[in-house]
Amino acid sequence: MSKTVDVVTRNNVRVLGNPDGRPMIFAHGFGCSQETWRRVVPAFLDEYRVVLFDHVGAGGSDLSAYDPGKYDSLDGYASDVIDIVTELGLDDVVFVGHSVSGMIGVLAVNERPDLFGELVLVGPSPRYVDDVGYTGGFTQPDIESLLDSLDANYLGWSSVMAPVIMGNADRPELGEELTASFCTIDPAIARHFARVTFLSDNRRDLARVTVPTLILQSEQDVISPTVVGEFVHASIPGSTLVMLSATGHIPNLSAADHVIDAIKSYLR
Amino acid sequence: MTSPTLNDASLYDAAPCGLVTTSLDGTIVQVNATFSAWSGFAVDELIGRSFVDLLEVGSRMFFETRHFPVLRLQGEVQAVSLTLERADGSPLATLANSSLSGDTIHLAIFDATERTEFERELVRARRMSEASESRVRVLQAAAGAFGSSETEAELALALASSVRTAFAATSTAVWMTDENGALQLLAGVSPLDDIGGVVDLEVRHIESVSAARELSPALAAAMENSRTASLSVYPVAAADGRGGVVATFFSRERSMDEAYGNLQSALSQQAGEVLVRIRLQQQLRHLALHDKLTGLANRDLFQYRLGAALDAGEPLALFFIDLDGFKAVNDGYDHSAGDAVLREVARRITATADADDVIARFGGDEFVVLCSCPDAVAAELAESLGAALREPFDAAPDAVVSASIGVAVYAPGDGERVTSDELLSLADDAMYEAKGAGKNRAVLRTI
Repeated sequence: MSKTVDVVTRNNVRVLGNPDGRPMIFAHGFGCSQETWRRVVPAFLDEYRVVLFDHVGAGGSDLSAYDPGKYDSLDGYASDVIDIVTELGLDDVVFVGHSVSGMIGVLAVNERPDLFGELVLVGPSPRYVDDVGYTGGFTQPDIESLLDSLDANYLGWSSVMAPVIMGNADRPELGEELTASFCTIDPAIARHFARVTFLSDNRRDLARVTVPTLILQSEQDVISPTVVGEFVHASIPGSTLVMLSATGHIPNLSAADHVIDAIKSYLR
Repeated sequence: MTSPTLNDASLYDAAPCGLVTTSLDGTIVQVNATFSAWSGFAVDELIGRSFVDLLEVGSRMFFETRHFPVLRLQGEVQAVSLTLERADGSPLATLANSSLSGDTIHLAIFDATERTEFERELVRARRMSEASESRVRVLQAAAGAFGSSETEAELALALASSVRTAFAATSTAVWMTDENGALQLLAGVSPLDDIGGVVDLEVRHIESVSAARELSPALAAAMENSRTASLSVYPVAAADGRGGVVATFFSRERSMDEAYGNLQSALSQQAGEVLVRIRLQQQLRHLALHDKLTGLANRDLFQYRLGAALDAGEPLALFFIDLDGFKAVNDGYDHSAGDAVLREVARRITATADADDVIARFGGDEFVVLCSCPDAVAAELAESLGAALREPFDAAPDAVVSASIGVAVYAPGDGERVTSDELLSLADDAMYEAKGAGKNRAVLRTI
């Protein structure tokens, strides 16, 4: 069972920027790959040692490494982040996580607080489904509706949205070609990842965060509404909440300059 | 975008597809009459609205998490399935092409009601066939893995692994009932240290920590501490009444519906049947290698263990024990008394010898003991065995029973290796020498 894992290949890890700089890891959210950071990353290359990676199932990751049991909760993804940090021998890491990767970062930091120096959460949500006394923005049927939408786009006529891949777990080398198109994700894994992302409840983990945390919240975000950003802020002791004058769930693409400025002034 | 001329405007409005232009942030800046008619909103109701607001929630989530980044990175996206929510709340299935030009996004939207309906049926059928196929695959793989298991531990491992794969579980654990009726963890990992009260022979679905709290606050606390969000417990029923339990643990809340229960039941039932088969085989193997009367090893098993001990190259002492006066027991009492004496002899030898020693009954009143011990220890053991066996027997109080013991002591050296037969016959000879010298004694021979 315990075969040695090539973390760099598994997660398509790329290390850029200043080799002597402080390490800064960017983690992508549900629906895309490390490319979602392409407008933000250049601003940090001079000063930071920038680490980009793909979650298993996305981008150029090794699809054969997808263990559904491991990745049935965000803890599995968090353990991959810790693997990357330890494999590269990093510490005092700035972890920048978008969307679901915000919570993945929270779990990684809680597991190994010694490795991380700062946490930046872009549009995080600890729970997407409403609960008694909590507004997440969605209901259980909403999540089923998303899964239907994924099916319609990945399995039906419009499967152009599902880039050529189709999970071929026996041929990880296929990952090479995939980087040619954008935001590649394996449809079957995307479906499972959607469930794990949108049906997880990590509210209790927020209070345990001990590293300084910046929360970036778009003013208009239908996936993680501002009330959720405020909940995250209230739940992480000593955290800082910055509202971005941005629309949409991916300010790192739609308002990259605001994201860059907010991160830089927080780290300064 | 330049304003359309009059002719262009009529073409634009009459186009047999919805045309929508938005700013980069998705705010609608222009729509054509077709889109307005399809959506059920007047043009001026649409201008200034956010396009994603017009989408049904699943499409909205897809649009935001997937369509948007691909469009921004790639510049265009074609034939995306999006469901609009019309003014009257009814859905409209569409296919949309989008392109990015400068600061605007152009969308061409096609009515795909029929196609989408048809596709939904296809997808539904595909999902159903995939679900049943995966169920069959899981059961087939499990049948193979269970079937090739030769021990309870192997079966437990196969069950734990099959269940983990079938349900994408964080971990699974399998307990089996031991001879004393206690459940023993045989395979997998239980994230909960104390699972008492939950792991019993009953089906349990614990879908959340709050559900656990109603059952037992201690269980809820243990789940929280181990990051377990939900779990299920299924009994592995065995016809011999000594079944087991398989517990499945998840790090997030999982709903355990009928399909879940059916597959769990099918797997644990399959495992239960194999468990009975394995136990029967173990019983048969035990019967084939043990003496029925005393439960000691028989000659076959002893020969095997002796060969293995010789291969290991350790110093050995082989004791050949023949009872003196046993014939008188059989003559003076009935056969059941003889049997009782033999069982008591087996018990006394077992109590006297070391737990690691191999003890066998070769038949009649002949017993053998194999000890991995040096000669001094062997001499002591011979004395103790002799003393133990000359004590009176309750089943035949008037009979005078003792033992003639021949001991072959072997210390492996550089010379030629001794064989099992040589060692046995040396011990046999020594035993006859003890008999000849007046019985009730031990004779040691060294080789």
